[in-house]
Amino acid sequence: MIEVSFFKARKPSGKLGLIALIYILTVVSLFILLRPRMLELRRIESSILHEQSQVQMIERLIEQRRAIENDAKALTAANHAFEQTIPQALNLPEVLLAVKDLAAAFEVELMRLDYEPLRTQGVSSWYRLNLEAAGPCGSIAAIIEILAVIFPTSRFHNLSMISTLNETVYLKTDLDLYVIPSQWETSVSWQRPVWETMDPKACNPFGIPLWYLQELCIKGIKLIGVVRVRDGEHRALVSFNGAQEWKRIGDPLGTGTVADIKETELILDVHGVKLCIDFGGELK
Amino acid sequence: MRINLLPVNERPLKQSSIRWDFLVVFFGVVLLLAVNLFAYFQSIRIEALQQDYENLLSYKSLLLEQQRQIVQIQNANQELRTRIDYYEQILANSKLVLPSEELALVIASVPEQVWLETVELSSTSIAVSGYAAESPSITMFLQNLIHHGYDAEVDKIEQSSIGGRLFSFTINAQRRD
Repeated sequence: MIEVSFFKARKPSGKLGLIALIYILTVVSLFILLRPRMLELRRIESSILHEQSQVQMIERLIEQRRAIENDAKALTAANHAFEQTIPQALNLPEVLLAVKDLAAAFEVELMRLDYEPLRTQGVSSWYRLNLEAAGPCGSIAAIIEILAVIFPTSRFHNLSMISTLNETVYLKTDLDLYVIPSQWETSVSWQRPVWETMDPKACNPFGIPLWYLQELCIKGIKLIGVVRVRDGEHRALVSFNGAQEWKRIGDPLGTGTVADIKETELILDVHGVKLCIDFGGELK
Repeated sequence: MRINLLPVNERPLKQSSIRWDFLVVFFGVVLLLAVNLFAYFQSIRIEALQQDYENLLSYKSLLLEQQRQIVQIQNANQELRTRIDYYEQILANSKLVLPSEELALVIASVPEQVWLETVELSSTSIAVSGYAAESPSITMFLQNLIHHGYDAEVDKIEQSSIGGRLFSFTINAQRRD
């Protein structure tokens, strides 16, 4: 028989009070002790889950570290290669010096070499160089080719070459030289190339200007007479710019050379152009 | 024979019966103990998880240092890529505008007995003027230019006043894409 003396008590209010106290304590424990702990537990669990997911992401990133470092090495090497070949904005004096040295190496007369202030558009930065030079065609062609090689970011604009009287060529061009922007720090710097004396290209398709040939033949040279000397060779009496002179084959005459003398004509070779001059300066 | 004269509600309980109020109190005490016990275990679990959480945080801070280094490398890589893109772009554009080979090609196209007076190269076209001893040489020059990848045509050709021996010409050419 389960019987406790308390429960034999006749007063039901005492029993009810005890019951109410127990259940109130239970409810109080539930809300004051248990619930906050459960909420705290849930919060910590969710924080742990959150941190774990972040840790996993970071671990995945760290796993790629080797590949990222290899990328960095390759990119750095490529960047160095570019920085060695492309001048910085600050290298302009050395660039100008390099062009002067190049012209000197080819024995080309540098008539003009100046530049406009640095232009920028977005990231792009460039100088416009104005270049005028005169020299043998082969040298001028070689200079243009070498400029394009040593300044691979250069852009020629409106390049013109004009033949001159003394078998040289006059070059006029604008050159946009794209450079590394001054705000970019570089680990290596562009090195100015050094040249010794250079051999020009063996080519000269440029001739004496046609207007000069016309001037020369129509007004400048007159064949006055031709005589045959003892060994059968001809001599020509030529008037050039008012002065008369006897000429034989191979003698220079004006900008040309006497190529042949026949009984009634003189053949003048002006840079490959054969001009036949009759008595009195008439042309065939 | 024994007769119980006590009123029903004052009679002693049978040995097998249990008072309802005892059950309610018993259940309440058990519940109270269970709640507190559970709360206690939760406290222990919270401490353990808190420790795990702190360990995780310290591990994460280690990883974050490495991540920071990697992010630095990635940022540096990105900057390097930006620079390399710029370098590649200006290199490619310089070839597009007016390659220096153009002049070499024009010069290489000039046949014997043709003399140039002017060569003008712009970003879109080439203009060549000169003279030749014979008109077929001009045609050959034109063909050489076409052979080297140009759309070329004679703009002007005329006999010069030097005894009709020289033909002056002007040729315009454009690079074929």
